[in-house]
Amino acid sequence: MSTTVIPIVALSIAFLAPVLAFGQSPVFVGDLTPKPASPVPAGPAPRTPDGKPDLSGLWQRPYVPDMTKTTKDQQGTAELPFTADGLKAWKSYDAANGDYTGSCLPFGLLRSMNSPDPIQIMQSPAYVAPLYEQNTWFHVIPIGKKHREGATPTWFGDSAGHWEGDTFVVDTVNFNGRTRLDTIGHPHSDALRVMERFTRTDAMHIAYEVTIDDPKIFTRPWTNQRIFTLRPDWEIMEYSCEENNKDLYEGHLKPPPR
Amino acid sequence: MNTDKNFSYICVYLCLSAAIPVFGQSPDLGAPGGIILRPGEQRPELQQPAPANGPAPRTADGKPDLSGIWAAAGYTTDITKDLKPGELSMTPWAEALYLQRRANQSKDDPEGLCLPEGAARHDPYPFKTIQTPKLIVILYEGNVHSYRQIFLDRGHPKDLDKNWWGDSIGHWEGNALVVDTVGLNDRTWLDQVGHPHSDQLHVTERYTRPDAGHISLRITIDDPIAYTHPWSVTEVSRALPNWEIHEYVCNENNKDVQHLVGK
Repeated sequence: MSTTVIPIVALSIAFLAPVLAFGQSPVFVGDLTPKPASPVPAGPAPRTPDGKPDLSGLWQRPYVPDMTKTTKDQQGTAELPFTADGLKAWKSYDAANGDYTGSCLPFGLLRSMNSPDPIQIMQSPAYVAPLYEQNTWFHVIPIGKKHREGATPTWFGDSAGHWEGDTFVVDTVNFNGRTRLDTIGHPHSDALRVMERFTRTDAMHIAYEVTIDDPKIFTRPWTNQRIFTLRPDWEIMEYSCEENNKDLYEGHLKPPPR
Repeated sequence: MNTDKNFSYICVYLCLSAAIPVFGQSPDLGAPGGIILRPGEQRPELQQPAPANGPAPRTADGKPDLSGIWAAAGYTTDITKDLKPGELSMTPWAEALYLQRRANQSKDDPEGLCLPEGAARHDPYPFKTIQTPKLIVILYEGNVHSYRQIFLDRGHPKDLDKNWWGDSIGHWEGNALVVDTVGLNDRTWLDQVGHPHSDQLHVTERYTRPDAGHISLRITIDDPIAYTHPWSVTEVSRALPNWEIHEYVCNENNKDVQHLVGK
């Protein structure tokens, strides 16, 4: 296990907001472990015993701090179709005034999927569970269940997954509205509905598409498309946002008002 | 499922975790480890009907299937409370640290700062196990809502950095999954009352599924800096077949940090 986690933690806690405010791009390093090299899998997507495409594995993803940008393995939506309220929420955001992630509050579903660190996907016939290296958070997506009724809105929302042929489709609602879509701060409301589509196109890749539907903030749904790459020799490392986050403990830093 | 109810227990735990040991009350309302509740309250997941019983299921590769959601059965307040006299023997270093934490009303409990609880400490929230042949994952509803990975396809790396969860590897001994964890930092506590450990802590967990409805965990604490000989405790959790892990955000509205003043 390398020591890269420490600079990553320090960077994200101390510099996330200011760095982005200045438009710089922090460098994040994937974790290479001393595990013996595995043969690089090739060929078609493997399948689970129940015949579904197997999404399991450790996946490197493009870092998407700004969902309007198109970069390597990421196709953004350049012009977001803001409503009047949406445009106001976007223009009024300034990371220098505090961002919830500085207090180690959850990135939420979208920003976790946009984070630079890899994810480990665990899959069973009953659920798919992405494990994010980002803050060692996880999310569980039950398969074939309906959304819970009357549940408390949450940071990651309530996900329901189903298979459409070889594509795993995740429909997520009931967000608490306290997160941002990406690091640069694109807004959403508690009316957000997220549709994600995971397709393992071959042994080494997942094609990922995410659609943002939030009628309070955007006049129509819009999408991002990405490619995830399998990293059979990597392991997810531990990531504690709270470790030594003195600004939070000593009360110098407060989450932004709700 | 009543999520609001669940959240109320989060508050109870956060609010009372430091205060309860101070007043010498016994918050343990269940055996063997106990769960912190207001008097008369029962955690909502435990109001579920008893799980179907029968033999433990097995995975496609013939191993006992430890997958599932399990009620907490940990020794939340005092992991040593059921040990017999002589089983627990603290070194002078550990005893002094323990007494300091007691005198200070557990003010500096890292859990109150939403820091990870480590590999050996348990809290009153359910956990979910996910089992694959090479990787077993435990998702904790509490324990800062994080996960642990147990690798079955490798040994411990040589150049481990000390961290909160340590490095966990597992192997099967008959029907038992034996998990060996080293590489832990010395910043976590073993329980609320503050039983200490050093960074030489070596945790061995032995998971078995004696029947479909239960998972048994025997934890052995081996830490020559803190204890003169190893000691073990056993926790048995019931299955929660119709339950789900709920979102738990320790940092959300955790106003108490600055109010935990100790003495």
